[in-house]
Parts: sequence; structure tokens; C-alpha cells
Amino acid sequence: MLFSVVARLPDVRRAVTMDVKRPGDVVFVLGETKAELGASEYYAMHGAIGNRVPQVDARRARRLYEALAAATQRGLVSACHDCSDGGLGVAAAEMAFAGGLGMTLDLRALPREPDLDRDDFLLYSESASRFVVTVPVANVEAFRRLMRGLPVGEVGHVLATPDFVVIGLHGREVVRSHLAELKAAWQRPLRW
Amino acid sequence: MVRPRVLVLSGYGINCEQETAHAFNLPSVGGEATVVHLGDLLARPEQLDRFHILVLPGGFSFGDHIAAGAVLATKLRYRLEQPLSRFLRDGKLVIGICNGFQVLVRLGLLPASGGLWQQEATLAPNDSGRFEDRWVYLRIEPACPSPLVEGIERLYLPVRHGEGKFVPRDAAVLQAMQRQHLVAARYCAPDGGPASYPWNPNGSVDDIAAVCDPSGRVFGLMPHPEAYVHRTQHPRWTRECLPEEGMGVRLFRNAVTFARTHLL
Repeated sequence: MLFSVVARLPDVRRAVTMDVKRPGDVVFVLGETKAELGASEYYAMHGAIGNRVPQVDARRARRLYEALAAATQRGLVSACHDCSDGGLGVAAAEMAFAGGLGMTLDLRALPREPDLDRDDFLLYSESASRFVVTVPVANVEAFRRLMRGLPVGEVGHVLATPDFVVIGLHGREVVRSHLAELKAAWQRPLRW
Repeated sequence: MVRPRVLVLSGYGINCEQETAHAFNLPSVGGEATVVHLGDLLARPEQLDRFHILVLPGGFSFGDHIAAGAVLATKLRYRLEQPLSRFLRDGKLVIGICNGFQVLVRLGLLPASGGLWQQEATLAPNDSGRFEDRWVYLRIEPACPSPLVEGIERLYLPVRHGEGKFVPRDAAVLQAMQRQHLVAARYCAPDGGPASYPWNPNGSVDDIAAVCDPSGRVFGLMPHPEAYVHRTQHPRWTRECLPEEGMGVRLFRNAVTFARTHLL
């Protein structure tokens, strides 16, 4: 399912795009990741369907959205992307190769439901109402203040090199890839 | 400050009149633009007299039938020749952007190295064989007599056209243009050097992107200066630190400043 939403922005200069902008920017993940992989891309890739599909908690989502909107209104955010098909792993990779800069992600810092202990589930769950956000170092304190009390994790930062690195729950590298490789994989379905 | 009056032509497939009028009306430019439909202008041609600048904007006038700009050029030639001649004789400015440039070339108002109303060049289909929609770098020729490019060295603007390859009728026209410095701007590489495709997006002879007549007051170009008047129109505005004012503004400000100084 694809929703396209069009709205009028009072000030276009406050618009935030999804490509990472500068090395050193801090990567945050907003919203809780649950083992909601029912009908996910990851399961589909493995020939499975699953039975736990993402649920929306509208009340909690709204608090998160309002905090994020306040942060973008103040110009604190340098890039923002939703987690949809493919979950966090795909969203973060898209942001990285769109901006031509690498990224590190540490799954230990991810807000998640208590008994979720699989790296692949954390990377590819399609839980609703989550965002990947980059924040310039100078804005991090103000951003943290706005996010206080919300499920927000500081998971990594933007790299100057084209490396894409994910640290798993046991502190070991579970992904080390290259932007060109990720982008090629992403474009493959459109290359006839 | 007195605002020179700008007639921005519209109708029959012209489609950049609103943003062109917006560019002239910017406070930092200071014009007073009125969008006038071609039908209204042909019905009451004398209204042209009260304007100081005439602009033929971009678009697809008359659906590019026969050739881009051909039908509008013919209409202007046979329905508006007297008021247009008067406009030019009074030393007023005529500006053609993209499709408007094609019209001025077909009318023989550009480059007009050997006199008015004789077509000396054409804007042929792009060498690439397709519509080109991309941003290009322009190098302004310092010896060009047009007030529009005064004080400008480089521009970065978008082109969007299928027929933008400037071809002079023969070597004599090209030589006359060079002698009189009628090439106002050339496509160039990002470093300012000679352009090859895609920096020269259409295969224009001698990388010619903008042309003026010997008086400098008739001016035409394929790129769209009205499409870069605000920072947020730049393709990488979210990534680069750019000034609020887009580069295209300078051409409009030059035109209005010239009109205010010489025509009011």
C-alpha cells in the first residue's frame, strides 16, 4: 500500500529531505521497533508471510509526530525518512546512498520491545510510526530536550566514507556494506 | 522608486508567464509586470506603447507546430509589425526566453546583425534527439553590448527545450555576430571551460546560449532565468549553502534598471 500525501508548507525553507547531508551528523531512530514482520519484505524474501502485522498506536504516534514537527520547525533536523518497506535497514541505507555518505547504526541503542533480541528483526521489522532522523552535532542537545520521554534512540552517525556499518545486539558488526552495493541492490528491480 | 512597466505575453501555449511576471515584480527587481494575452494585444496593439519592456516567455506557443515559435513569430510579424517597430525605435527592451527566444530569432529580431526582420539563424532540434531538461552553466561574454548581462560573469540556470541548437545561417552571419559581440552568453563546463554534451545541452554552434541585437536591447536566451530567482529553486538547495537570491534575478534587475534609467 502506498500513501502519497500533499500539503502546503507555510515556509518551504523548513522542508527536510531524506538524503544525509554532512559527515558527523548524529543518527536518531524515533519510535519503538517490535517483532512486527508479518507481511514484511524480509519475510517475503524468505518465502514466508508471518502473522504479526504492524499495529498503529495513534495516540503515541501523535506525540512523537508533534515533537518531530517541532524539531523540524526549529531547523534542528538535517534529514528525515520514514521506515516503511524493508524497515529500518532499508530506510537508513536509502538515506545514506541518497546523500553519498556512509552511516553507522548500533542496534543496541534502538528503542524496542523488551523481548526482541534478533538483529535481523530489528533491522527489517516494519513497525509503524518510526523515523530515521539525522541531527547536526550543534543541535543534538536541543533535539534531545524536545524528545524527552519519547521512544527515541541515538543509534549512530553519518560517515565521510561510503561505508554502511551495523553493530548488532552482541556488539559485533552484523552488516558492513558499501553505498554502491546497496544502491545497486535498491535499483535492481527497475533495471530491465 | 518608479517601476518600469513590463508586458509579459501569454496565451496559446505560452506557459511561463506567471513566474516571469513574478521575477519582474520582485522588490529587488522593481518592475511592474502585466500579463497580457496575445489575443488582447492583437485586438488593441496600441497598448504596447505604454510599456517599457516586452517579454516573450517560455512555453509551447501554438503547440510548436511547424517549428518552435514559428506560428507566434508569423502572427507578430503580420499583426504587430508597426507597434513593434515603434517599440524598438523608442529604444525599449524586448526579451525572449526559451520559446520567446525562438520567436525572436524567427522574426529576424535576433541576432539582426544585418538589419531587422530578416531571419539570420534558427534554433534547430537538439543534437541529442530529445527534449533536454537540465541545469547548465553559462559564461557571459564581457564585450556583449546588452545591458541585461552587465556585471554578470557566470550563471547557473535550467534549460528545458527540444529545439535549442542555435545555428547561424552561414559563416558570414557568425562572423558578423562575433564582430558586433552579439553572443551574450555561452554554455560552459562547470570549471568555465568549453562545453561538450551535456554542458552544451543541444549542440549549439560555438556553445551559443544567449544572443542580443547590435543595440543590445533585444535579448534572447534558451535557459530560464525566471526559474531560478529563489534559493529553493536550486536543485541542491537542501544540501548547499546558497544565497536567498537566485542567479536569474540579476538579468531582470539589469533590464528594469536600464528601463528606469533610460526610458522613464
